[in-house]
Parts: sequence; C-alpha cells; structure tokens
Amino acid sequence: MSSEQKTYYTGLCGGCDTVLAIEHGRPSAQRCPICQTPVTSGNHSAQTTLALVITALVTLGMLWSFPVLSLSMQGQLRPMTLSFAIVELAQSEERFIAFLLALTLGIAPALELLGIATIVMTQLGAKGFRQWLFRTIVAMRQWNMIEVCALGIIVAGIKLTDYAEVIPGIALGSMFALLLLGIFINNGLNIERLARRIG
Amino acid sequence: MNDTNEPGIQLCPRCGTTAHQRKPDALRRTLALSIAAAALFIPANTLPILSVGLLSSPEPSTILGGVIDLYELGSWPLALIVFVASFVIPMAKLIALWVLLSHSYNPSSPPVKLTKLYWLTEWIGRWSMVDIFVVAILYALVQFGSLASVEVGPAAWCFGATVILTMAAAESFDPRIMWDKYREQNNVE
Repeated sequence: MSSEQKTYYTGLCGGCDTVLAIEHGRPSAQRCPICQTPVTSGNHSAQTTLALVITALVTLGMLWSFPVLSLSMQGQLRPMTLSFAIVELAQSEERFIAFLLALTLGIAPALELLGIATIVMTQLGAKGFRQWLFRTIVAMRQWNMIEVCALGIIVAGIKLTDYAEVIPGIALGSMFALLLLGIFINNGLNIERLARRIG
Repeated sequence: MNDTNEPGIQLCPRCGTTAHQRKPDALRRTLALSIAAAALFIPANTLPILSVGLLSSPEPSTILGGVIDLYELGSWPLALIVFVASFVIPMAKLIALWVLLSHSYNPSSPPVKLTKLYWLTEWIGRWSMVDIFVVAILYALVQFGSLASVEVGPAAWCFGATVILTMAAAESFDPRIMWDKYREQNNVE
C-alpha cells in the first residue's frame, strides 16, 4: 500500500490515554510510542471475517454434538459430549462448575460469533440491539476459553491412560480447529471497523 | 457523546457504552476483588479438588497432589504446565495486581513496564481455568459405578471462584490511573 492510500483515525491509547493517529488496516501491530500498548486491530475484510466466523459457528456446532472423548473400561464404553458433561454436573449439584463450562465453551463463543456475523452480514435489528450485540462481543471475548479447555482435555486424557483406554472423539478435532479459527479471527478482526457497521 | 436522563452520564453514540473518563472506583474494586480471590486461594489449595476411585476406593487429591500424580505418571511437561496454570499464575496474578495498585498511588518513574505487566496479567489469567476443565471432564467421563468413580471436592468451587475474581480484578483495574498520577506528580502533559 502506498503512503497516499493510507488512512488514519484518531483514537486514544488504552494504556496511557495518549491521543494517536491509528492507521486503518495496518498489517503489523502498531504500538503506542509512550507505553508500548498495541493499539491496532487486524486488517481482515468483512468477507474474510464472515467466512471465518461462519466456519467457526459450524465447528462449534460439531463440538457440542459429537463426543469429545470416550472411555473404555472392562468392556464398557462411555462417550462424553459437552452437553452430557454439563447435564451430569448440574444434576450432581455441581451447578457452579456446570455453569462455568456452559459459559466458557458455549454461551461466550456462540454470542461472540453470532454477534460478529450479525453485525458484519446484516442490518438486522434496531440500533440499540446492534449496540448491545457489539458490547456483548467485546465483553464475551475474555470468557471464551476453548483453548484452555483443549489443554484440560489433554491433561484429563493422560491422567486416565494408565487405567482405561481413552478414545479421542470427533469433537476433539473440532476443538482444535476452533482453537486455530479463534486465533485467525482475533488476529484479523478490526474492532473499530466492526463498530462502524453498527449503523 | 449522547446525554442520558441521568445527569452527568453520557453514552458513546456508536456502541452505547456508558462513558467514563476512568473506570469507576478502579483501585478500590481491584483491591477488594483481589483480597477476596486471595482468601479463596487458600482453601482452593488445601482442600481436595477431586476424589478419584479407579478400581479402588475414592482417594481425595488437592491441586498440588494432582501435579505430583502427573509427574509420577511420567508426564513431567504436563505436570509443569498444570503447576504453572493452577498455582503459579493465580499467585503471580495476585502479586502483580498488588504491585500495580501500590504504584498507582505513588509512581516514581514512567510506568511503561507496569503497563506491560497489566496487559500480561489480564491476558494470562484465563489459563488458570485449566484445572476446572480437568475436574469437569474427569467427573463426566469416569462414572462406572463401583468400578470407577470421580467426585468433585470443595476446592473446585473455591478455585473456580478464585479464577473469576482475579479476572474481574484485572478487568476492574485501569492502567491509565498510573499515568495520571505520574503526570500529576511530575508535571508532565
């Protein structure tokens, strides 16, 4: 991109409040010259973002529909889907753990992805609803913990290998695919550009 | 900014968020939430998080006991990861928050490194949740009647609450307050 084509918007650094000229769609991270906080977001186009988000939504559906792991012990096979795990925990009075699982692996990623897709793809809903969706996307980002759960599954699987046969399920593949998609979406999403599509 | 019915409160015209010059009561909220997290971190590490009975009677184990089990199984890299995620990160996060709070009242130099520490603290906290996922997965997976069973211990609740409270404490903190104080004390614009 030549220097004539560069466009800037004025923004405040989230770290120290310095007023900055932030370059639109800068491929590498721009940092605040005072406190070194990264101030730019990604440079994905709306089409790229939409393609990644729809793929992630389909993958999230698979994660919730198929077994993550199955345990085979003395001739008995026990498959485990995420929805089954949440129901089991909720029925055994471990409702707080069940809620954490539902929030971090279901509600947060689904709201984030559906919110991005709705704002990017459509002009659906009143402005107040679209503003709420945008705020929800921002709030839910830190509660989406699919990558942390993937590590938890590896640890749980290794703990059980000495006692039973642990069989990885289709949803485990979906989880690692979602992990990669999440990295691509977060690195490429331009929050400022998304906010401009609210209406 | 859009004015609201309440005096002095303005909303962002683009996304509708309530506008604040700085996060409200940032330092007091961060302090309160981090103290609550520290209080819960003690039972989280002393009470059993999980009782596992695989071809035997259920044996309760703590977070650090689980790390030792993993090490004895020969998975020392995973034992190290779980130890860091479940013990080192929550502890380091609490210490980092208190360091940030203390410097917010009296910063002696430009808080560049402290701002970086804040962003690191905010990003890394979620990884502590790994033990909660391990507990949930083991519980759902290992229910074979008398053959094998897993029970969730009281430390799981305490640990989950510790992680959420430290995340909320980091979210409540506003690094710009350190810069405000620094600029105020050194007459820097």
